[in-house]
Amino acid sequence: MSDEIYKKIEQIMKDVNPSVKGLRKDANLRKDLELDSLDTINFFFEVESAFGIKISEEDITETSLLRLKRSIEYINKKIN
Amino acid sequence: MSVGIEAIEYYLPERFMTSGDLASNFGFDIQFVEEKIGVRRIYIAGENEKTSDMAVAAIKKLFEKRPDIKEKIEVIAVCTQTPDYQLPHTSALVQKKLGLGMDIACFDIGLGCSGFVYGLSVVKAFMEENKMEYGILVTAETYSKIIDEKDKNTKPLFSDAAAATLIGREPYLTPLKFTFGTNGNSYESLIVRSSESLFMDGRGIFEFVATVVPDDLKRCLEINSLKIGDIDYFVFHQASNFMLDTLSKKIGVAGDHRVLKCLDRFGNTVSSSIPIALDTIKDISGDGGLKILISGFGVGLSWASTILSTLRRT
Repeated sequence: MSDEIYKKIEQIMKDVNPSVKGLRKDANLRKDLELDSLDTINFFFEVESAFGIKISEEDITETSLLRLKRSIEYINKKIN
Repeated sequence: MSVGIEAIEYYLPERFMTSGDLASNFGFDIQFVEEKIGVRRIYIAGENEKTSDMAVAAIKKLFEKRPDIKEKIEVIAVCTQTPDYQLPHTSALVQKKLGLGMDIACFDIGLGCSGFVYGLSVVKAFMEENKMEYGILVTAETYSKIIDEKDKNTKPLFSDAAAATLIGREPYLTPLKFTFGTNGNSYESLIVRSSESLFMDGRGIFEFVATVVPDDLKRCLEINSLKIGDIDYFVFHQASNFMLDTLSKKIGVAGDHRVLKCLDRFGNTVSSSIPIALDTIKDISGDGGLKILISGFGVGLSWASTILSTLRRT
């Protein structure tokens, strides 16, 4: 399941920031993938739409959802 | 001839901040300010300059352009959310400062970014109902007075301005059918609570622009029996470059030259952003046969759209 999530996220990332080449699961959205604050809003909006989930603002932090691995785990938990 | 827009003039305060100032004040990359937010300059009203002063300045420019109409104005509607006083209505001060006669209808419209489109419909209907010849819709905001200088969400975006739109019976732009909408459940997305500064929930506003507004645009096209391909210009509220790009993408006109952007020169001037943008289109004439989709959306949450037509004269 997490591979499917990863593939969808990879597609979303391509739309949000086409300059991103290759996604490492341990990547940080801001530091490694260089999403600015507006890209980050866009990214989580598209994730919510793609997976039919709601992500609360409090969960988007440096130690949680801004890490790709944590995002995948979070989505997995929400959809199951 | 039906009632529509005969002329537009706008006023910008003397004080301004550049993208460089904003980037250094907030620690932003200048590319982020100019390309993502989309702003190269924002305007700030003078310390003693009030909303009514800016409205009057814009109307005076209109009178310079059309001196024949000063004595013929029968209604002035001021659209603002930053009135001079909680009461009375700002339009009464505008009437006084312009030295206009007392046989004139004046009222305020308390809307933000959707205000121009709403105002156009309101003033048009008011004039038609009361058989009036000339009216003015003036949009004017001094958001700088309600913004926290240190708030990086709002300060680099909003800009003070006023736009005066002459509404009359020989228009070069005639509105077709309108759409309107409100979602009061999200009233806290953009709010000034008493004694606080403007708060903006960027994520909430983004979601609104990416979901509700595209549907409204489709509905507006539908009720006017038009398709995306029939539109010559898309004049959306100049919220931010990021929002304009998002909206364009959602309705399938991303990167299209028909999507007008002038945010870089003026900032987000709230309800004045659409009339100012319309004034920057230089090839509009009454016989152009153009269709312009205008859409205002924001605080409320509130939205409204219509098509402006430059009817081909026969």
